[in-house]
Amino acid sequence: MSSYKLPKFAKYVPLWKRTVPQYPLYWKGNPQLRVFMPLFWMKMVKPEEKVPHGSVRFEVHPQMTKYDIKNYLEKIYQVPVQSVATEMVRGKERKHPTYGFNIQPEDNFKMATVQLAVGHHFEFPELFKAKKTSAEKSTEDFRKAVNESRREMPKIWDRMDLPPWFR
Amino acid sequence: MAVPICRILRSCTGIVRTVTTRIALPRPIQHCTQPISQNETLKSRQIHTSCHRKDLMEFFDDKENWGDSSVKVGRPWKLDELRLKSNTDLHKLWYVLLKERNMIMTMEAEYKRQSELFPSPERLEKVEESMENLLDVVAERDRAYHLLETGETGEPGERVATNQLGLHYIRRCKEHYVPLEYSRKFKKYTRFNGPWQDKYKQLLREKLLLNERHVYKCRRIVEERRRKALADVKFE
Repeated sequence: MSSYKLPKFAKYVPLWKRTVPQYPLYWKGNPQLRVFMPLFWMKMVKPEEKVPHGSVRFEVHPQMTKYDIKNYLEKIYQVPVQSVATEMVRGKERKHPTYGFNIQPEDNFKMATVQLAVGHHFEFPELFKAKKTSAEKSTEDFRKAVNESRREMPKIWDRMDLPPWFR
Repeated sequence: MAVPICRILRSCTGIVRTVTTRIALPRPIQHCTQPISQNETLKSRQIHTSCHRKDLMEFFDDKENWGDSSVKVGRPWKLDELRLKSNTDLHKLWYVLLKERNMIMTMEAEYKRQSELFPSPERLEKVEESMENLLDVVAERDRAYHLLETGETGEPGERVATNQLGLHYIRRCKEHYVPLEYSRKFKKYTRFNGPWQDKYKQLLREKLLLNERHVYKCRRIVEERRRKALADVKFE
């Protein structure tokens, strides 16, 4: 990382969390402003509710506008876009279990729902379709252990009060 | 040794792969009867990476890595490596890095949603480091170009500004449509500034100087005490 750029007493902010610098001012008659190295990021999220055919949901950089999102997808990913709707979503707040106040609220973020052009469709893939999730693995292990203990119970029913090493 | 194409593709995605994948092993010397053109095509085929268009599936990792416990990656791009690259190469690399970062972020979000452990989460930091290095190199080149053409760095300079209390401070310059004297906002902001503030500024300066002197005195007293205490001690 470039250490000379960092101020003296400041914690390091990752690049994706930093604010995007202002565009240079535009005067009438000047050539069109162009972005050569966009700092914006987009991440695809699975929508919680049912969505219409061909609509995709993204979590985007909070400074991104609708036009930015459209251009981003069309120029970089070559995906034709029909329309974009954006919404600022407030981050979740947790309450302290004993005292009532809020602790560690999550960051607010911008959500964008993109409607792809006619004839285009995208389905969010299932990453763990074939493979077992960690929760399923843990439940299986637990069941195995329970079954083993049940099998051994009739053999040692008279020595159950002893510690396991002496059985 | 022909490197598999999928491996090269991954090597180009932001993070340089391990050395074995990058550098092809020395091939045996081919017979002279073989035409040169064919040899060249073989060479170029090793480096050639055509854009594999996947549209929105580019937001996701390869299917082989889905649900794995760890994903093998190399180190980020160094500054010295990026300095060797041309501007067009850097421009292309930027978009590769951008896509890689988007991919990692989407995968991380999906893993979190499924309450799974995300494999090798240091990938994001590595990509970000290489991105920052790339930005640094571009800034360096920009500065050099401006210095050559105009004799100044193209960065916004700093100026002395006054606040509502009439105190001066250093502020970074910013572009404006209207000069400072004609801007209505600036006039409104500093309308009460005037010579009536000089008295208070003087008092503030006096206070600061007194404080400074007090600190100086305290330090001197402490030093004297230390000197007295260590008068008998002999240092070798």
